[in-house]
Amino acid sequence: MASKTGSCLCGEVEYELAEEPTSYGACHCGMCRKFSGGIELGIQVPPGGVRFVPTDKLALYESSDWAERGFCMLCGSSVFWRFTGEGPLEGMFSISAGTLEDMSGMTFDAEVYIDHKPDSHSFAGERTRLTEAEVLAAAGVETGDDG
Amino acid sequence: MRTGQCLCGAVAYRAETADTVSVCYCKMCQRWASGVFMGVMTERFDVTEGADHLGVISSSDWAERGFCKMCGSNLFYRVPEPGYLSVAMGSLDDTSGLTPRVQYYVDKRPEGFALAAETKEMTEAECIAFFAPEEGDSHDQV
Repeated sequence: MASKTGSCLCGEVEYELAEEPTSYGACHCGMCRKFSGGIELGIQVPPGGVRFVPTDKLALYESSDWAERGFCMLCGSSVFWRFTGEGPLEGMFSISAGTLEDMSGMTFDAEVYIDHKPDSHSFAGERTRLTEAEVLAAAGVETGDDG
Repeated sequence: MRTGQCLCGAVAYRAETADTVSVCYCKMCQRWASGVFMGVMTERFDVTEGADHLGVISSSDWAERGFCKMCGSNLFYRVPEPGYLSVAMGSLDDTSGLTPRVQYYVDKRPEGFALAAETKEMTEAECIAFFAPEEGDSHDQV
């Protein structure tokens, strides 16, 4: 069973999810690749679905007009991406799956921005794969910018 | 010679890199890189901009991780002794010509995750035996 708690590399940023997570996805957009440095695996969590232990080490970076990214200012761990634009997905989190204490039992069920993926790597298995345009349409965002 | 930078552009570097990617699934890399870390070994690495915005954490007895303090972008993994540095693949401006070569800590790979490509694979025990045979401890130090 996957855990509901997680933390950054150095332990200064900790959180608890309201629900046990069951699946994660990967985002191939250039901003997620830069932020994580590798492959951003995220757990979709609705607004209010995560509680952060109070800390002054959680830093926020406004990465676009409609998204912000949370990271630990001590260790640099990528902790979350959050949609800040208006629409059906406002306030939605993508919590970094790697920060979860235990990912047992989770399924890898989606890849997004698949058209931005570098040629150097691909992931095995069947799952939903969405392009940038499909993601933006679902989020109700008009621009072509990554978040 | 390749170049790279963080999301916000505060920190930039140039590096002479290998053409291969090393993938690591250890829990420290998972926490740091949000899922899977992909590093590209360098023979030479220079910060060309924003050295004062570069954060470096000693994440274990033998390794450091560099990131941008302004935007949180992960930039490199460095082992001061014997002295090598891998840039985070995501930070490179141009990733053309790179291919995955090895996967470390494959027994810690997130459930359901697999690269399509076949590469050399090493388990946690094999990595420890290879990289830190005197230590004998798990790399999940922090």
